[in-house]
Amino acid sequence: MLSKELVAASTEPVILSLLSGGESYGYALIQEVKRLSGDKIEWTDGMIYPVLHRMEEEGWIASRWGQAENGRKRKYYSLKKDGKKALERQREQWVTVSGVFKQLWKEQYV
Amino acid sequence: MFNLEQTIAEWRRQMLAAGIKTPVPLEELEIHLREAIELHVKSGLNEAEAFQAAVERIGRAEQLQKEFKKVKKDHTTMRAFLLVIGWLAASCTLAYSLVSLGFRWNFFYFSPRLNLGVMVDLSGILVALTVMWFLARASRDKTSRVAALLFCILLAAGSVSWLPSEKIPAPPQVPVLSPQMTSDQAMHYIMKIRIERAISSVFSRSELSPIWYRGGRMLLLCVPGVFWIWWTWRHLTQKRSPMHGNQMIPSD
Repeated sequence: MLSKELVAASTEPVILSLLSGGESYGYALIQEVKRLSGDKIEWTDGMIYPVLHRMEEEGWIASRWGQAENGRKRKYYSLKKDGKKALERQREQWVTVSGVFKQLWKEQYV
Repeated sequence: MFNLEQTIAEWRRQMLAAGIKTPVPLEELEIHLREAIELHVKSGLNEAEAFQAAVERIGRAEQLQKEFKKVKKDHTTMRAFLLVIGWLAASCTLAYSLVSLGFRWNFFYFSPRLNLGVMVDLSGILVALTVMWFLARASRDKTSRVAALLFCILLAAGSVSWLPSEKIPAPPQVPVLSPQMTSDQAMHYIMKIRIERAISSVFSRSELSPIWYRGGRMLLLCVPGVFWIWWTWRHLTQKRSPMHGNQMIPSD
């Protein structure tokens, strides 16, 4: 299980990356993160919405109400131009951190 | 006997009591809750267990409200402040450009002409109005919307007070000499009248500006108000999500 701090820090870039693949909604985003992390990243479900709303306030993502296949209303989120830029910035930072670890731990793991 | 709809209605009440606003984000959370319950039921849990599991995963109302509040605090305050500054700057630019144009076109007499200064004033008006369009669109929060309304009212009030025609001074007095006056007094009196006439011919206007100029100026000053009304209406109608008042939630 990941530490709270690391989960919190990675939430925005993870959401931005997921949305860069196309629009999605809160529940699907959570399921996708769970699947990708092999259940190691578990967000408190409700906490994704304040994050989504904050990102919408920032102008990174847009939202629209739509209808699911089962007729249920859903709020879909999609990436905006500023969101792509934000993702690019955050990506660079994570790539740097991961690059450092890769080099530091090379001997141990390769 | 477990009643899912009643239990969800109770959960909604708890969320509302904690300060989670409806329709957004409460409706969004409820949709999430229902999806999670559905999935748990499909995987074999009964409705009561599914509800319990979904509620636990969604988080406690107070905790969620704390996070939603943070979003508001962090971004709305700064955003509203910048919007108010924007409105102030745009209002001043619009008013200044119109006053400046008045000096160039309508100082003592009306003579519209096109030169660099006039072009600057006209650009100022255009820029201020364009900026106000975008500010009105961005002013979604209460603070900036109220401040914007204040600026719009001030501009519109100014425009109305500007509409009446300019004052043309009464024609100078015709000297009337009385037989009781000494020659010195008469001379003094005539000189006084002449000076008054000279001053009034230099410092006061002799003709009115056309109504289209004054009317146009008034309309331009009312345009921000029109932007404000248009975008406030749009924001208010958009805020009502399609979830509002649908059949998902049983009426109690």
